[in-house]
Amino acid sequence: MGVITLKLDDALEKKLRESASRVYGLARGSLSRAVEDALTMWLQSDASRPHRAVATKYKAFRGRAVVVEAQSLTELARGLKELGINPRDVEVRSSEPVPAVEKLGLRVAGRSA
Amino acid sequence: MKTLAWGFTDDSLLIPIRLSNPLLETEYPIDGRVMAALDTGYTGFVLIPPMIFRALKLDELKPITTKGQMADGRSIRLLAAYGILRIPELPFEDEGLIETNPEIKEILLGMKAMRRLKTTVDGCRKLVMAETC
Repeated sequence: MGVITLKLDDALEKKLRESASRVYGLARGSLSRAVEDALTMWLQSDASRPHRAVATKYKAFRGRAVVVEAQSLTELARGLKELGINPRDVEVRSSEPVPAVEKLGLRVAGRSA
Repeated sequence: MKTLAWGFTDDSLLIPIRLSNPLLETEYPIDGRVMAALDTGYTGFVLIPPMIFRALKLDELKPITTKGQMADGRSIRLLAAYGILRIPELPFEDEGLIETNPEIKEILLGMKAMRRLKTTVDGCRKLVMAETC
């Protein structure tokens, strides 16, 4: 068992002690159990993962050939312009896959299927 | 980091945006901003009415098609093309698939548009606040 000494805001500490005793009782170790639970949940959540922006890559295809590759749409547009290629003639694909189905939510109410 | 707040309008979470199609050098609106509704029920990036899709000339690019599933389980065909979303006041810019269908009557920002934004809804003060991550 590891031992960690840490500093907590007074109000948070008060809340933690109150909740721990309410959930796990006043027995010794209740505070550690509550902190263990909280840390386990935090480690399982997205909040504990570093948020690195994944660079999306674009490719412009003419037929099967890649004519321009770029990190952004603006860069792709510039590349096509430099090569004198009409953007209407290429198929733009992204490294981020196109979802097979988008959920549209409650604001979209269609008349027909 | 800049945080901006906008009041609720008509009980919708509306924020002012601009859209662009860098491939054909088009912008919508031509001047100013257009209000878009934040919709956490929409899993995509940006959903727009066909009229705006055409104004951006996204219909002139090679089409990408996908399927949209409505809340009642029915599906509609979505036509899509890559474009840029901007919230000039923040400033914020992101790229993604801009989708349309004749059923769409308003501009919706979905979960993919919100992935690089910290958005807070303050129901007590009727405010929606946004800042970049």
